[in-house]
Amino acid sequence: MATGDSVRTRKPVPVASTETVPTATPSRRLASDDEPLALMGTRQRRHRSSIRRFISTSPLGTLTTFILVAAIVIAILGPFIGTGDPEEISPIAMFASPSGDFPMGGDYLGRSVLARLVYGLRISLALAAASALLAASVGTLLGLVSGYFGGVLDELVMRFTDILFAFPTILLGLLVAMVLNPGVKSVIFTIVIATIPVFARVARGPTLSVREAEYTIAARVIGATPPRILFRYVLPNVSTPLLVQLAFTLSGALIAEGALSFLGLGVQPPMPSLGSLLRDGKTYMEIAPWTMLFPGVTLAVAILAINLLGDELQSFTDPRLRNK
Amino acid sequence: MSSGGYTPLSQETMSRYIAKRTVMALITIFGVATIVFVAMRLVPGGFAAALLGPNAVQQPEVVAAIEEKYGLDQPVFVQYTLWLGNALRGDLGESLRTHSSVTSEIVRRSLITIELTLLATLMSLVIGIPAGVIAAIRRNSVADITTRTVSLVGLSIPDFVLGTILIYVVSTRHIGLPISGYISPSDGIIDHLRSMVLPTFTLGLITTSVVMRVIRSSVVEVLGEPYVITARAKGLHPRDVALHHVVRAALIPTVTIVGINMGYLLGGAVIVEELFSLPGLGRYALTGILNRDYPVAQGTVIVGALMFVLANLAADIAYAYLDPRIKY
Repeated sequence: MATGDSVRTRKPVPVASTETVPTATPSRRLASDDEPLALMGTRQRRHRSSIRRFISTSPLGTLTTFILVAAIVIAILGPFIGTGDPEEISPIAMFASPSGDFPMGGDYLGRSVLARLVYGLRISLALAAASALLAASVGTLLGLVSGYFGGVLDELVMRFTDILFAFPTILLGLLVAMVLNPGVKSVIFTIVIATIPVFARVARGPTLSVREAEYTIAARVIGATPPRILFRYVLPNVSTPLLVQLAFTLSGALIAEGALSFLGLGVQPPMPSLGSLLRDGKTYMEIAPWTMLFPGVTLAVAILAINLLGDELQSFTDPRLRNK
Repeated sequence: MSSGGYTPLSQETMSRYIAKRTVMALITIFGVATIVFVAMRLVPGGFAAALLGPNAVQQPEVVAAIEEKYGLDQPVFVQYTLWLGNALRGDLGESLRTHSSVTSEIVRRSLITIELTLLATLMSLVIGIPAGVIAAIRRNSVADITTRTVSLVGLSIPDFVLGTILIYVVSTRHIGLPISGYISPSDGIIDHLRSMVLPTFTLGLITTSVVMRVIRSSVVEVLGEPYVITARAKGLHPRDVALHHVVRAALIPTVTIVGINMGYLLGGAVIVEELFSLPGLGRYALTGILNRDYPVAQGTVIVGALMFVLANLAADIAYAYLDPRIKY
């Protein structure tokens, strides 16, 4: 999501070969398909134990998960725990420096920076999560279908992702903001379009080899339909890199939303988001630096936490990285 | 790869590979142009309304005259071929606001953007490569932990946050660096470079972090290769092994990273040029969008995507030359 593209938003960097494949033991997955009810419990227990293993092997990952959960809880519950009304204007708060009544000071209209920050965090997180999930679903489906069926379809999908990849995220955002009017819709649309090709590629690579795995062939032989094979056999075995990518996409989406709103092409006033708060704060940074510093630091900390979690997930799920 | 080890590639395979990549790049550029064309037809109100302002829509005869002048009364396919033909000849139309040629404005302004992206790339290589190599060779040392922390933090501070905070710090602490405006090299090369310091740092921090991480993991990977172990077993000095056997192989991915980073840099240029008031391509694009100046917007987006595609094509070709193991 380099940013980079920005935004992109950072695109996945092909460090090793793209054909790193979970030649994983399919036995567990196969069992999941038609296993007797009595066995269901063991699966859940395994699942729980892998969470416990993550906590014990990755204290940093646990800490960042905790920070993120706290940020989400504050963003959701903010108004109920007394952070205040983001729209309420009180004349004494205009450019007020941080103090008891206004812990993060007041902005240029006399609104509480804390109240606006909590609301902005809520909107930024919701936008980032919604667009990352949407892009992940569509992109993964494209990658699965393209990798599994191959041929002309695969070629078409891959050329299409090439074309979408050619737009740096911010430039794509400019184009989208002109067609749709700048706002929540254009931000989501930009992030989704920019991220679909990433998921399509990440899902396609391992699908190419899972397609040839014996358990997939066996499933085909007993007459499983393509959708069933894709979702019950292929998807579970290619899901690990997708999960890691989802974490990086979330941070990329936060950056993209921030960048677009900062440029005036995203969330429009009076609705706050971390990017638009920073945009407002920049104008008055010399008389009221707190209006700019709090949203900026909040955004950076949120992105840092998600990136750290992504790193930890990556080394937790990739056995080659675990011992490094 | 065959088991016979390294066989030099024939000139023919190489040129076939380059031809294939070039054709794919051309298809991509064609697709980009088509998407931009379609997007422009979807703009609410259409071109005539943008040109004349909202009131003019009430005068159908004026709208019709404008549509005739710009060929908008033609079938879409005819419009598309005309537009594509003009774009291929380098004619991207003229600005609706200033009536200057979009192509010549883009050429003039892209020099600043190209300089900015080159400086940021230079920064990422000069800092990122040594830091990444040292971190990998001395794994878990203080240098390694510092490099990893710096790169993780660098990746997590978006350019617009970093730039804003830098402007604040530099202006309140009275550090003698220009925070706004462009000083042309003809007005003094030193002043020019000083005016580029903050923009370059703001744009380059993320790419520097990316280079650090990629170089580090690539060196770590190469360190485990059998030929490196052999070189060690022969009794070569660890420093010679590192310099001659490891770093050379580990540097190859840098080429790809520089290509991929171009996309981020071109997008980041929009933000950095806006923040530091540099009259480059990115700022031209942003002003074009905010003024609903469609020819400017479509021209800049196409040229930006074109630069990205060409940078990646160059990276792919360079990669093939550098790495004899690449599959065709």
